[in-house]
Amino acid sequence: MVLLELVNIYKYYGKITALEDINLEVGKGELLTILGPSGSGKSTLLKIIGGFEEPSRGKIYINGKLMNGVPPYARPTSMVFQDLALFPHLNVFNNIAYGLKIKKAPSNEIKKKVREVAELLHIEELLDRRVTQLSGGQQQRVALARSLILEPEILLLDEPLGPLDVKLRKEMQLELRRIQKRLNSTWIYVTHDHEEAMVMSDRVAILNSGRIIDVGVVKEIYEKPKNRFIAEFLGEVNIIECIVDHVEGSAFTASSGDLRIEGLTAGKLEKGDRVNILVRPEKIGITVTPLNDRKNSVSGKVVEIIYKGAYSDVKIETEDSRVFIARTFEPAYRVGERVFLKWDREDAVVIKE
Amino acid sequence: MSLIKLFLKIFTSTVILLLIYLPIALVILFSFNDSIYFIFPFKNFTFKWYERLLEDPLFLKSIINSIIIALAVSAGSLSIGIPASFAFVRLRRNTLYVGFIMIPFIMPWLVIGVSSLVFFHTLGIPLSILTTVLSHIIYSIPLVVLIVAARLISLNPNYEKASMDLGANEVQTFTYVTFPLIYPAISVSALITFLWSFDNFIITFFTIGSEITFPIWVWGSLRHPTNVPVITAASSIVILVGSLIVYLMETYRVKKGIGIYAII
Amino acid sequence: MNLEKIRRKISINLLYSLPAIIYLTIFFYIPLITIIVYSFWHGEPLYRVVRTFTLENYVKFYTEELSQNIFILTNLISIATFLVILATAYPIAYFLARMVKGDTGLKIILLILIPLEMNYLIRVFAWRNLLGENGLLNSLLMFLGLVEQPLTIFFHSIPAIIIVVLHNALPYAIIPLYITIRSIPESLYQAAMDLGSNRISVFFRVTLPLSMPGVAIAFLFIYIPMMGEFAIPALVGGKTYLLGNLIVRQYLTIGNWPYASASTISLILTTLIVMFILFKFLGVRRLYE
Repeated sequence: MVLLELVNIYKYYGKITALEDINLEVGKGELLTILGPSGSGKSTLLKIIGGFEEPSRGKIYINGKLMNGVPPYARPTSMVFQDLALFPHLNVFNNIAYGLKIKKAPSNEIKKKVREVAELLHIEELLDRRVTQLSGGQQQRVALARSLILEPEILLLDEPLGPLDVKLRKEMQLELRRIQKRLNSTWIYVTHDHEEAMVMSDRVAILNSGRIIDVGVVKEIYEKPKNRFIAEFLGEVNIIECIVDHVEGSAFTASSGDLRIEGLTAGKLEKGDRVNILVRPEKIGITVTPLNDRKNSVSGKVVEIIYKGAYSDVKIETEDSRVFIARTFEPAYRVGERVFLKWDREDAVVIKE
Repeated sequence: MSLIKLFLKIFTSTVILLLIYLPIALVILFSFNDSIYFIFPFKNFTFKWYERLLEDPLFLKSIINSIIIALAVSAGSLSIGIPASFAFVRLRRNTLYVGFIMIPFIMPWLVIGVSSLVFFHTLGIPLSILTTVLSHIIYSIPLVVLIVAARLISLNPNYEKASMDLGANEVQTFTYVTFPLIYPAISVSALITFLWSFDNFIITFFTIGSEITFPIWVWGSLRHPTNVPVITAASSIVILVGSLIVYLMETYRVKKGIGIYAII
Repeated sequence: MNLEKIRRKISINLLYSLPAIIYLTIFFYIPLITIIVYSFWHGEPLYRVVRTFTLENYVKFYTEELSQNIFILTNLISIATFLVILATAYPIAYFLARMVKGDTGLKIILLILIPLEMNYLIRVFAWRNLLGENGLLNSLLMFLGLVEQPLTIFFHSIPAIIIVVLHNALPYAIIPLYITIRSIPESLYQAAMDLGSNRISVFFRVTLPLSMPGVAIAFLFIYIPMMGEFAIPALVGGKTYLLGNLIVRQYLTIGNWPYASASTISLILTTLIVMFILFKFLGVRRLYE
């Protein structure tokens, strides 16, 4: 069931186009991530949904009702701000209870609901504190509680985990996801961090220069990116520019200098087409023993090993000065060592130029 | 380095002690001296100047008048200045608007004084406490705007947005969020306009006519040598009460983080 | 944003400022226009005014030697006062901003602010009692037998004016200087040191240029009130006669309002020109925003 529908949204600031022809549907109970580099217009889009900005053109529907011109307080949305915007003059309890007090809810109901939401977020001990006395993670929880208590149809989150350190961030990502699933509520989550998007979301909408360039399930977009920008934005990727030599059904061969590549394609290719072959680092096998099969394979020297915790990225330079990155969970390689890389033709993604 | 630091330390303390506090301390000391001259050696300890001061009907009247004027100025400039500071925040890059509100603030007080004098005289309005209040408010409006607008500018705009998002309309947002957050700045500006008006001599001099305020009383008394010890007594009282008020206000201001420019 | 919305926004701001705009128009700008009008009329002593257009008041103010001298002297004393205060305030502000830890600096500034609540006439009085002919310093000197007659050089002189204003205006110079020096990030000093500057050249290349907005603000707070000051020169200045005294005398004693108004307008113009220069070239705006 479609809960939120954006139709042909445009936003101009003077001559600058912040958003261009945005069309988006969000279903009930879904967590959609809006992913984009800074300045891509993702916060503007969130503000338009929340009612803090009006679109220059286009329509917003929530539950089928037109929302254009409806002020934030009359929309069934609630926003967790990037800087959280907890009211500094109120304590934790009164921050969380703010929305219910405005609605003039009876005070025993307010107490009950605050207690419930505080338990959900594990902040029941903090209710008497001043918000300025809380740690970053605790403040996140209070901000979330303040919005959740109103049971909004749509919860909007504007990079709320930005200022947290990596470890706390990872914890909060999982916890947010758990809460969202448990409440079965609809969330729209803005972030510039693709790893966060992968952990958090059902679907992701990728925004670049004010346009949605792709929407879909994260895993699919990651593995079958539509274009080079998306592929590069979603993490490390090896890109080989080459020319198609031979096509047979869905299989083809291509070459780039000495390199011979086999691949599969769903689209139409012809001999002589220029294509980009994309291979994710984790799809590349790495070995020290020479390989017989020269297809989908390169050899080179290790120039750098980048430790990333559980795994390492190995940077390899070939004799004709190409650079490849392969991912390994057993960093048994040394810089300067000669290694061989290989990938399966199913793992290479083809993008026509 | 430590030599420079030592020098600066001594310099700072000397200036504060000798330049700022010594004259004040001497005024207080000599208010208890049993002599009409402010000269060494110190004679006998006495309270008589204080007694004489409290018997002086003109002094009491001047204090009461000054308080009435200061209260009226404070109330008037707040009710005009607070709404204006909301507009000032949004229009602060508009040179014409900023100039219009701020020019009274940067003019020498003499200009406000003489133009008020000419204006009231031309209209045939007799000079009184009222005309003094009216001309004090001219300078107090930008003063209030500066203090309140500084607070509004430093206020995170997301507080208001969050409040609206949580269901509060514009009026509720102002009542429950904006006002409590700018309240400290409002109370400080009330106090500062009060103190400023109470203390002002130059504008008052042109607009008070034949009435009296505390600074006018001091001005008059300064011309009569026999009144010297009485002024020392009056000054001591004003210094002590005033210092206490300023101390409390400043502590509050620092605690609430209201811009230090507030005092200017 | 469409035109309608812009119009709405402007009108809301206008509504908020309406009381202030009306008030200032009636009680400040119309009086100002009144004295501008007066300044172009022909005036004679004892409040006699002939309502015919003339430039004679301005011609008189700018060409007569007496008013020329007063105008120049007032400017010189105002600038000299500013320099003396700056020389006193800058080391203090620098010390408080860079050499004391935490908010001790603010506490000391509070200490400097407290006596401000003493009416400035009282402070004039205090200084008169200290430095005047029958003052404490003279009585001490005579008591010790160092002089026979009371010395008059301490008082009824231009230095006396400067001392009294120094006492009055010192906090107004220390505070903006403290704020600007304090707001220079520590990393900038370290970077400058790192690039091989010694402390003295760091001061001249980093601290001083970056604290110029504070110096400019301090100048405004001292120069402008001083240009219109009349009580301090009258009480402690001896024969010193400044622009403020001229204006007061013309308005209240002689009663030549057109000439007094022309002098006042000249004072306003000077103030505005100085303001304009400071805002334009010294980045005062930068400090405020």
